[in-house]
Amino acid sequence: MYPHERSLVARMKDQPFALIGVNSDKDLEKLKARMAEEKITWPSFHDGSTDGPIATAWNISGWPTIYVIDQKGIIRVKNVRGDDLDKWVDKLIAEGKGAQ
Amino acid sequence: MRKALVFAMLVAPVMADEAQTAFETLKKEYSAAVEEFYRPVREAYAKGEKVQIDMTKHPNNAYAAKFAAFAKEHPKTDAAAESLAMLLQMSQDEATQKEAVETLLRDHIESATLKGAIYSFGPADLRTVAEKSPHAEVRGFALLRLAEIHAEAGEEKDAIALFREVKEKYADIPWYQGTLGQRADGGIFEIENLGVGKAAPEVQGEDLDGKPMKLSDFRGKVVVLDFWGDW
Repeated sequence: MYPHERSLVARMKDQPFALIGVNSDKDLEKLKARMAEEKITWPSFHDGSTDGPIATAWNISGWPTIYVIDQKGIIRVKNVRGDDLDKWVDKLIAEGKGAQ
Repeated sequence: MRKALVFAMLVAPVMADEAQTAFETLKKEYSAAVEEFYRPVREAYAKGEKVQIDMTKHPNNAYAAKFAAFAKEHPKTDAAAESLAMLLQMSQDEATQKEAVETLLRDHIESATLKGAIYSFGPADLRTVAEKSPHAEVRGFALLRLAEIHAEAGEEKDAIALFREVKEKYADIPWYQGTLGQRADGGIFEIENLGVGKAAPEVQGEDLDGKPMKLSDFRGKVVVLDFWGDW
């Protein structure tokens, strides 16, 4: 996951794009050390556990779960990975440009 | 005739006990093999080092076959049911899985152990379990799993109907931290509010440094919202 996410974030550096995590780790110190190690620079909500308020509100039962949201805030696809995720992001970025 | 019957009644429990004892031995062997497999990882971790291990050599591959063979040698025993449920968690082999599922449904439909195999069943199997298991918990888990399969396939009407059935019949049965009723409510909420084409609900919280953050801060951008954990 991390290498692909890093390359996606790097590739979208100059685009209207954000990768946002909702993190369910309990040990924040350990997590931050791991994030430094893995060069995870994108922001995450601190949800604190798999029973955290955000994961509960979104009815998450498996990790990772991915939602892709367009520029108008509409959920467009769930749980796409790898190349499929890249294609969806490209498509939605292009859609946003078309609308301007 | 009477003697033969008495003999059979005496022998049956003994055989079941033998199966159970043999099964306990097999489980211990398996646990020891798994522990041995991960020993390099534990040793490296203790030294603050990291080590790569070859997952293709994981004991699950060999032991799935042993658990399958055990179930065949001790058919229709409780130990066989447990053995089949365990191998379904381990096996990557489709033919082995299929045979285990068929045997469970044919010989062990009354076993509470089916609960541990729910994720290996397809929709038709789940229907059978939801109708025929004598255990409310097993029926409830099967029905919930069936609802989830429909939800995952985007069959929203079927999924909602099944989630409602779970709520009506099995609301109070425990499920992880909560109940099947709560899980069914969550499933319905997800379809109605978190489906493709719906506006993403606001998320308000703090980032990992404790600074306030909300999802709508990123409106105007394409957002990949990733529920994750480093485990």
